[in-house]
Amino acid sequence: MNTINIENLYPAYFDSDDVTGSDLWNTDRTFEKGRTYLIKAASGHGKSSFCNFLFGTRSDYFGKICFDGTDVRTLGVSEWRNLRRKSLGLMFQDLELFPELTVYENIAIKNRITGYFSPERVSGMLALLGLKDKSERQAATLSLGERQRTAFIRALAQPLDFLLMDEPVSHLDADNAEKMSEILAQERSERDFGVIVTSLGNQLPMDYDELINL
Amino acid sequence: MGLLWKIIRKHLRFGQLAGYFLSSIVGVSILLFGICFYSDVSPLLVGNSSLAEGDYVVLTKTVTPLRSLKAGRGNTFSDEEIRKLEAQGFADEIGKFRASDFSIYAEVSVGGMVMSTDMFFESVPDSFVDAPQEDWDSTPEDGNVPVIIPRNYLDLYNFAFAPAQGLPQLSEELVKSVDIVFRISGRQSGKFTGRIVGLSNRINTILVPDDFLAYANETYGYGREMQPLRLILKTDNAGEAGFVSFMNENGYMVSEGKDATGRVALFLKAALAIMAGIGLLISVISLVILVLGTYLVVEKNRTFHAILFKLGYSPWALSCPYVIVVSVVNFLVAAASTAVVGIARNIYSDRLDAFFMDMPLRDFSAMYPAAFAAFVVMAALASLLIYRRIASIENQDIRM
Repeated sequence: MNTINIENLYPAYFDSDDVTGSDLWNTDRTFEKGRTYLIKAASGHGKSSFCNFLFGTRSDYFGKICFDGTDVRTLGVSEWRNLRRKSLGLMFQDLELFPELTVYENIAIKNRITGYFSPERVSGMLALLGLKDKSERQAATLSLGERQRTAFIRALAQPLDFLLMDEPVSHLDADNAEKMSEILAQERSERDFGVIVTSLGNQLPMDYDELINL
Repeated sequence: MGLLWKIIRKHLRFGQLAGYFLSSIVGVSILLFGICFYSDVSPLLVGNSSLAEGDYVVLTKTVTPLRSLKAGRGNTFSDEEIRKLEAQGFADEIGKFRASDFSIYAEVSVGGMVMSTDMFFESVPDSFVDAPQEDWDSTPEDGNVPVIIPRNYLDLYNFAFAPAQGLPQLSEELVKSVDIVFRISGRQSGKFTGRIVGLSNRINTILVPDDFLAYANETYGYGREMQPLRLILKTDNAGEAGFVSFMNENGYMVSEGKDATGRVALFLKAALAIMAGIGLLISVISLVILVLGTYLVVEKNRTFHAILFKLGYSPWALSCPYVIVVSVVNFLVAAASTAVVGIARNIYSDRLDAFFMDMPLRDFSAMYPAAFAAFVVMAALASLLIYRRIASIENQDIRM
């Protein structure tokens, strides 16, 4: 997938007043593979809804979303499944880790169906993000920041054309946010995927190609 | 699999699985026992003494003083009477008895002792005869004739005549191995070698093949009128009021020529069918409980399944742990039920041996395909239902 197009897109639960003045809602816009986008807005402006619309986990919107020209409303569950395995990743705002699994297992449960990372690569990332000594701890016992870093590695454990990151550093200190940014830059240099990041204010430090205010 | 198992297992209730395991063993054991017992006793319900296919009755006319005056031929059924009987619709099939139109003298030599007696032949159409067809074919030109005698003739000899006369008792096998010489005299004389091929509970007469008797009457008979004195009916309606009143109105006597095996076989089959039906019902109810129990676990794990779908898991991959659990449980059910039936069979086979000496029981390994089929059907059905349930979560939760 090389492009994501949106045409007059806005959430079905919005009034017409809610979309006035937005750089994203009710506009036509194209997201390109290889580029980085930051979507900034205060709470309640639909950042997570936008990520879920693109990820296919919500469809309560007006307008149109196209992947390489194909309206996503025409995609079936198996096509979405394929996209989520091979093309489109999402780092969930609520992280969606399995509390009974360890840090390593939470990453492995994604990696085992994509086979993308070697165990050594996962260990290296965990070490970079300061989670090496916690890799065998259950996710339920981690802090929010630690969970966020775990979810970040899991989101990378697949082939990617676009990575959606829904408030990825909301619970991270500047140091860890910087490390996350370094890993992301290295992965992008190897794979050249597009990144769409949403932020409430505390943003992932990165040179963005476009800044979009919701 | 290990990671998925780790996620879903906390909602699995092993007490629930144990409950299913026990109730299913009861259901499947009853079902398999019904099949096993039927296959073991079925040799008793078919073969030479079989009447499992329906009931047979023999009709005669009441002997009255007036009819007695007509020298043995006063009670014949006319063609018109037979047509009237056919028109009632009681009988699936009506057969006429053909009587011998000549004199017969039989000689048997057993252990150097010769016994002889006057006797008679009768025949009915072959479809009423319960002997194997290859034994019943006759070739009069060769001088051989197969014979079926009533079983109670042998009983009378063994349990009344022989003890009284100090004679040895004869087994069924011995009787069948003895050759009988029939000397026939009518318009001309002839000699045939007879062999008893069966002992009948159905027809109380000395039976020879219909073709043979037709040939013999034509060749040796006096050419007398040969309207039938008796009729044999294949009917399922012998107990009905219409049948009984018709027979009474026409002065016909209905003999209990039918053997009891038919009814016993019918009752036995019905009882085994009901038993297998109850087993099937219990199995189905147990399976429903298992599937509903698994639905509950799936529902409790719904959030986790939704996350796994978002990570790219397929419904089949998520169904796998559940399918393995229900398959293992159902395999254990089938294995345990087979063992239960095996034990029960050992108990009843001793009893059967006591009643029917040397009755060959079928090899118990014949039960394995039935047990395997029960396992496959239950596991496949449960797996399919679980898969559909999980697939519906993907449709409902991932595409809003």
